Amino acid sequence: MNADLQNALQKFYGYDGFRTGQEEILESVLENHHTLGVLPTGTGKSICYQLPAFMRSGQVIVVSPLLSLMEDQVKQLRARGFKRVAALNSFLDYEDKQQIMRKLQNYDLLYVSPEMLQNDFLINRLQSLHIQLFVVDEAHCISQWGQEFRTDYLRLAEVIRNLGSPPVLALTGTATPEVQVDIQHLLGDLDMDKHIYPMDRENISYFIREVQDQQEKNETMLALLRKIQAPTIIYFSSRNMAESTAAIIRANMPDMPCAYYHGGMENEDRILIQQQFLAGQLQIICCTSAFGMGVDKEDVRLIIHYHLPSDKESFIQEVGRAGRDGEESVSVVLYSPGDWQIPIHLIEQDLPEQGSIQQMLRFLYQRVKAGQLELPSYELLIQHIPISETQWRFLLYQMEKHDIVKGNHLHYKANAWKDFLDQIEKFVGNRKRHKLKQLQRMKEWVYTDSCRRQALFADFQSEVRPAKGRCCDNCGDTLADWQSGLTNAQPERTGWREQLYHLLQQ
Amino acid sequence: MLLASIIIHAAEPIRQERSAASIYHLLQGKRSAQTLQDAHMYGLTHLFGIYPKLSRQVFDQVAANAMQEEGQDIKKIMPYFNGMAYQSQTEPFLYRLLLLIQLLSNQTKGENRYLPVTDNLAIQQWIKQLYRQEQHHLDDWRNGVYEELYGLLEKLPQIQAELFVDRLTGYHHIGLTTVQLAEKYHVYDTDVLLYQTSTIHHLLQHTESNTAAFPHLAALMDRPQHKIRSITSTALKTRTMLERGMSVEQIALVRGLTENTIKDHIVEITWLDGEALSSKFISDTDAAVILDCAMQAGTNKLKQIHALLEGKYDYFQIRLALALRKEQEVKA
Ligand SMILES: Nc1ncnc2c1ncn2[C@@H]1O[C@H](COP(=O)(O)OP(=O)(O)OP(=O)(O)O)[C@@H](O)[C@H]1O
Ligand SMILES: [Mg+2]
Ligand SMILES: [Zn+2]
Repeated sequence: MNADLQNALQKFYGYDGFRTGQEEILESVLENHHTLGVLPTGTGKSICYQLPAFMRSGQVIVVSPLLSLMEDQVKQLRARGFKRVAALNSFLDYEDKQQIMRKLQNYDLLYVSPEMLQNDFLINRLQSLHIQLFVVDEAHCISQWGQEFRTDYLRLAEVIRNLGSPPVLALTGTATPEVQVDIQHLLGDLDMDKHIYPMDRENISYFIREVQDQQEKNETMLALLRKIQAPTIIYFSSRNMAESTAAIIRANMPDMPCAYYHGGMENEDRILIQQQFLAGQLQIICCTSAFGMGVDKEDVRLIIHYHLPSDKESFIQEVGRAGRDGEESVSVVLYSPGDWQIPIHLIEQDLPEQGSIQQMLRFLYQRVKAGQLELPSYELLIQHIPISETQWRFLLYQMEKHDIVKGNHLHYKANAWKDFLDQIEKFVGNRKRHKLKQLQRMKEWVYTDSCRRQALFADFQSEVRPAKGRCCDNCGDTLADWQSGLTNAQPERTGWREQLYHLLQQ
Repeated sequence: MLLASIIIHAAEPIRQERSAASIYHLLQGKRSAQTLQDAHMYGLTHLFGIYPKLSRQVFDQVAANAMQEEGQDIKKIMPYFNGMAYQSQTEPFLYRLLLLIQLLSNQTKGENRYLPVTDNLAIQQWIKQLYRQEQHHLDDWRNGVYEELYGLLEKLPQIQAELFVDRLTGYHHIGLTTVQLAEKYHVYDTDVLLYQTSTIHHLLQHTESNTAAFPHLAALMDRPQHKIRSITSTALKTRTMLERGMSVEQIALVRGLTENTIKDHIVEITWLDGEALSSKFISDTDAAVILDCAMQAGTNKLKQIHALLEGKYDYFQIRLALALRKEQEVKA
């Protein structure tokens, strides 16, 4: 046991001991080794880079893919009294961004989005700091074989070199051995200490209910909610469905406070809903995948998948919101045979169509011919070519790699453009095939008749631990004897006078 | 639906002469000379900027339905609004109050780990400043805010008090979102926001007119600077230059704007300041002639007035005269 680390944990967080893996990863980091850490979702990866930031001098830079997650973490740290933290991302307005960039040395811990690291001014500023640790959180995003591939992550190796190759810590909760190798490679073939821990969660059990149609799905869901009566998250693949199902639940179960949450809501409302859930004012959240990462409520007992995600990693992440306190919790998938159309559709949407790529190149070519070498903005492009911003950023990265775009300018060479088209076609094809294969694996898991726990984690680790309580439906377990824990629902106050009194006078 | 009633209410005086878009700009608080003029000319200053987040799409839809069903529930009681006076401080005041209540409520329970209800840094800093000054009197503040709010909320219709208090966040209690409030009280989302604005205007109005009775709420207000507040900053610049004795042509040249734009500024300022500036461009008697004509003909249309007076006055002068009307009426 490392006494310094123990003391720091106690001092900064008030925790008595480390959880599995934390101490090993921290030791490696504090010896300035490049480190790859794989710890199950929700078990405390953040501490592995926060603690060094508080304990040692020098800055810790954290690259994180999710804006909301970044901001949550910063807010939570600030609420705990750590003020020397900030998040830099493209959603900040210009003033705030400048203010942070000018005073980088005032922050011990700096979260940045991968896009921001393409900003030369920022890199310049970062070069003048002493970076003690460069962290890549959710590192699976770097691999095209991971569930959430982000082209911005591909440039990280270069960024790390530009920053003078500080020690790197790559963290993820879900990475197959294949993805782990890829991470290491794409970060610049670093020589990394690997700390891989099993991802299975012993206190979660797995159930699948097949239904014929939506009505049956709703009935099954409602029956389940009545039975379990505890904090619950229900995942949907569309915003509309999350909203409309929340309304159904409210209508059928008026005493179970329920709300929806998705990426289309205003930031202020999202925070309120999330906080209501944490405070126990809401029992049920109907949401898209936007809710989850960073939501750290310890007593979520039930995760229902009204729709399945398109790969096992995402599924594991989402189910990982349950039982963070170690108490027994349940995952239930409701599926009907028609459901598979949705993820297939989403996969198609994710990557640019061959047609739009050609259209885009033609558009760019015309600009080159007209002597307009400057790269058009996305806003301009979208008026002519139907592609999403993610698709555009993906194409931009690919064009830079093929020397079609340099800096902010287009370079025309017939051969290079032709090559580009061929290769991009191949790349997109591969990626689609890969995603469909992932989906296929998810599907096999649903249809398997062997132990679901074994089947879910077999791709990720060599041995799967037995369950602490119930295991899965295929092992013969049921929820029939589930004792609904008493909910600590807040007393409903009646009327504004009482409510105001309660807020300010009690 | 409150929004619909408000649109109909605004449409009555405005309709014959101006487009539906002008009502939209009015509610949304577009800071243009034209919109400010409309507000004054048609006696709708209280509705100016009461719904800054109103989207054009929602407006068009509600307006279309409202016009069809017109006559049915126009006579609804209109909540209190005073947009022209308060629109620019409605939001700062609201968020300062929300954050202050969150602070006071948590503070008294010894809780200092909570996420602030607003991300707005300016608001956070404002409250932090207040906290530094007043940290030894927080109990007085808690009781003071409670009592002042209680008293003022009691004067409001029940629905407004409920909507307001239910969105407050405090110790282990998180306020409801607009959508949740709408659902709970069976009103439209749009109306939740409008009622809320009305409530804030109500608080501001009472506080402002009797600061001694509401010292804590008064401390959350901006210092009064009414006139400057509702003039666009570009118009203010024009005023400064005019006061320095520059001519319209010179200002236009220096600022790289058209003369017509400068004239728009002058009309805008005249709506708020009266003759102080306009006297350089139109005499009292001329203004009286124009206003007389407008009244006789029962119109505010520039073209019509211009024709009736046989082109003796230009459009700029007519607009100035109309802008002065409020002054005249008050004097009379
Ligand atoms: N040693 C510990 N003792 C007690 N609680 C801990 C410990 N380490 C972490 N935690 C708590 O566990 C929760 C999850 O931590 P964290 O968010 O870092 O997990 P994560 O692995 O990054 O999760 P995710 O997969 O969601 O990104 C937090 O509330 C954290 O404070
Ligand atoms: Mg994490
Ligand atoms: Zn099993």
